[in-house]
Amino acid sequence: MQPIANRMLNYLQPQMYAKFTMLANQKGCINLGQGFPNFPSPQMLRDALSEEAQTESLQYTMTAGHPKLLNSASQFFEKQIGCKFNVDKEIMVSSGAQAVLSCVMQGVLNPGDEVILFDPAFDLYRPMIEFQGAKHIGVPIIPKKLNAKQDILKRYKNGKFDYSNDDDWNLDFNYLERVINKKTKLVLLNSPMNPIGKMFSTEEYNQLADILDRYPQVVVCEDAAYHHITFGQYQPFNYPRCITHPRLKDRTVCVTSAGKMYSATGLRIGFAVGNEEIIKGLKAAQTYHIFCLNPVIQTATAKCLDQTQDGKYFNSIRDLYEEQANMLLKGLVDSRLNMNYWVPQGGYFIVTDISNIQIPEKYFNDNGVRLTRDFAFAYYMINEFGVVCIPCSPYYENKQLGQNYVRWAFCKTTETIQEAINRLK
Amino acid sequence: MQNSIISDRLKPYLGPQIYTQFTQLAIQKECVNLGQGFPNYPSPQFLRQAISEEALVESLQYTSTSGLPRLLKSGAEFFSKHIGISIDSEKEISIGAGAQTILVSVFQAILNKGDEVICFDPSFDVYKPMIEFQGAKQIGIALKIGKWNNKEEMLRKFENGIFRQDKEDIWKIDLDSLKYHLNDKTKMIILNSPQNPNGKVYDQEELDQLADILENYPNVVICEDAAYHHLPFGDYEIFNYPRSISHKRLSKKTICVISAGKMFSATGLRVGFAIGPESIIKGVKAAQTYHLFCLNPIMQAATAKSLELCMDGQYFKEKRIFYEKQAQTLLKGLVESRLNLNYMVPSGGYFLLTDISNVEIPEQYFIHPDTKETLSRDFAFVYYLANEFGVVCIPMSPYYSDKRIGEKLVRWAFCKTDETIQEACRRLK
Repeated sequence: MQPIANRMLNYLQPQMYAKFTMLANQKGCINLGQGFPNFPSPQMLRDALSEEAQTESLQYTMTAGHPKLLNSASQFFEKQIGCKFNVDKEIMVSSGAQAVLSCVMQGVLNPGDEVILFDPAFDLYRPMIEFQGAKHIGVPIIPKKLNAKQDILKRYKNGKFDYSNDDDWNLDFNYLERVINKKTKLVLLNSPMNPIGKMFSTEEYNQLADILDRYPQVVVCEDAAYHHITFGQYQPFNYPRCITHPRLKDRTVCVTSAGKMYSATGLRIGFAVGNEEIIKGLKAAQTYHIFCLNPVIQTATAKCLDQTQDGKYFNSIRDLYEEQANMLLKGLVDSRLNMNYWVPQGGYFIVTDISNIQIPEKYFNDNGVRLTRDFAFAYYMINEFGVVCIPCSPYYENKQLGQNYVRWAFCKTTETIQEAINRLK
Repeated sequence: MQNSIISDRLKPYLGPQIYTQFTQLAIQKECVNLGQGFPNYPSPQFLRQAISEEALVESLQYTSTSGLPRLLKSGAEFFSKHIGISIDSEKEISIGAGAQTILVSVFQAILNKGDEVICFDPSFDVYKPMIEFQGAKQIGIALKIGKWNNKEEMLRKFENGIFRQDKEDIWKIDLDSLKYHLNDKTKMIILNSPQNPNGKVYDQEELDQLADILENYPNVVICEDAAYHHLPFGDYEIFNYPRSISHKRLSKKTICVISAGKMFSATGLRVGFAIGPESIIKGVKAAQTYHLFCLNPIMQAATAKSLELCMDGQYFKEKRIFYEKQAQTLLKGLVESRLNLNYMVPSGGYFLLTDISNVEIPEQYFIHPDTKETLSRDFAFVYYLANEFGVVCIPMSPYYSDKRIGEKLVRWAFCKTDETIQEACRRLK
């Protein structure tokens, strides 16, 4: 008996992050793969969870979210993003940003609808789109240039790399104009972007708004999972965003992750804020999915949001991440690997180009299947350097484009990053 | 833009769900809430303690999609032991965020567009949208009611302080109807045992008959919704009553769904289990990857701790006694009420079902207070009870494909404190 439905047949193997984390553990590697912090989550969160466990209700709560959390989140976002969200209509809590995205897809997509993604796009988006019978189209975001070691070192001053135009990855708007059409229902935008750390600019949003004026049925989903990790000139939460852009906000649903905000990826609390009609769809989707979330986790999160409402906590977190980003980037630049580099503008990750790397032939073969360069490189790193990174071709519709990029996570302790750097020297 | 934002599949489901609706009504009108199925007595202190402790020490980062290794192990151990089956903790069990999300993952993993799913009505009303969202079709086959008992007949069954369950109280699968509806498109049969809302426990004979019939339909998967598997009543052993997941001929084609939240009287916990053959569990894990990615490790560790503490099953034995008592107390109150209902004695679960065919419901309640649309008898009855008796129950037409049957029935929850049940009985006298 083959019981599995057609839609799942391509997705039965363990997911890439899990696979590489397992390998990292098995082979004693430094894991710069999966995007989770390996430094402690804040004590205030643990304390809040521990306290709320003693007193908060343990029965069903509202589908849209525990009232305390809806209120705290609404207030937090108003203060930090500068947008007022109606607690009853314009905000929903779900079980991590992933579950929010799942509700967005379910809430908005009909079979045959098209979704525009910007490649490299987080590889979990595509299956979720397919499961709703919709079609995904990847519009490439291309680096302006390849920066070799000596190029990027010119911008290294006082322990930091200065961002310049040479680090830009640009959206191909011509490509976007060619693929958008009447069937397009959703544009999915991630800023700061996983994996390249790009932050979309106001000009880019203006251009997007110009195009979308001609396609009034298109919803914008802004994945802001890393909205608290913005480098250089950008402030946490307060940078160019669709949810605050005058011509995009009314058609936007913005997705955020409390788990990422509080360095606790296992927390499983995420938010959707935005257009009331979109949120209505998400609430309906959630009713017939998780039904409601655990109240204790929600009230604990509310407590943390209240305690960090002035944003100071996030300034120090951002500073920490910026330091780690620079530390890792320097280590990668100084490594014996002949890669090309870009300075990230935010997020958890650095992407490098591996087109000049000589990868031993054996790593291209996995049980008779020919692997793309990025996967071969990842196995080469695991076996001969003891460091795990993530191959980026799964982030691309066009695998040829993605096969020369790999992603390294800097959301790690100094010890971890130093050890990785030592192994790559 | 506004009209076309929301996907078509959700458009029929945008309104508040009946449980939410009626819980809100209960609060508004200060009713005793015998509607939504959640216990209103405290969750066990050991669960709170476990969560509180694990919050300080357990990892707060991503864990594996299939579940925290400790919970997979404890779950496999507990359920192997009490159900009487063997469960490979790496391949044959998966953790989900409550039984409902597990059902979603099961449906996504198994149902192709155009597939048919057979449910035995009255069946939990949430199955239908979840089935439809996978492009499949729900076929509701009404169970055959033994007999509804009037007050006199009920009082004749009352001996030694309890209502005796007789053969006539048992609802049966309509085998002819089942054979009629089974066809090449049938992909799944949902067996909810003990069943919400009528407390039915499918017996060995029925499972054998089902196994016989399914020999001709080798592709059919059985989804055993065992959310109340700790609450079969009477002579049934908790966890170890006739089940599809432990049936010699059905186990290999069964995926069993379990709710830790219900087991530990903490419906907000949001931890559930799927148990079954590797070939199906694989699909469930894959579906969950792209919904939730993984669950909160603290809640999982706390659940593991709780299962470990209750490994000998004693806790559940005591709980079952409590529930059986509450069922009897509420049933007595309903029998003695001034409502001319008809009754049945349940075999398990959280709920009582009553027939309302002979109740005189004032005309005004057949109109929805806000929308002014015409309501079916069961909904009218619920508003009548809320407004004039101060007690909330749940209308059963959403649990039936054939609404004519469901309109005559309402459901009452007995997963409540003595005070709550007594207050309800007082208001209904």
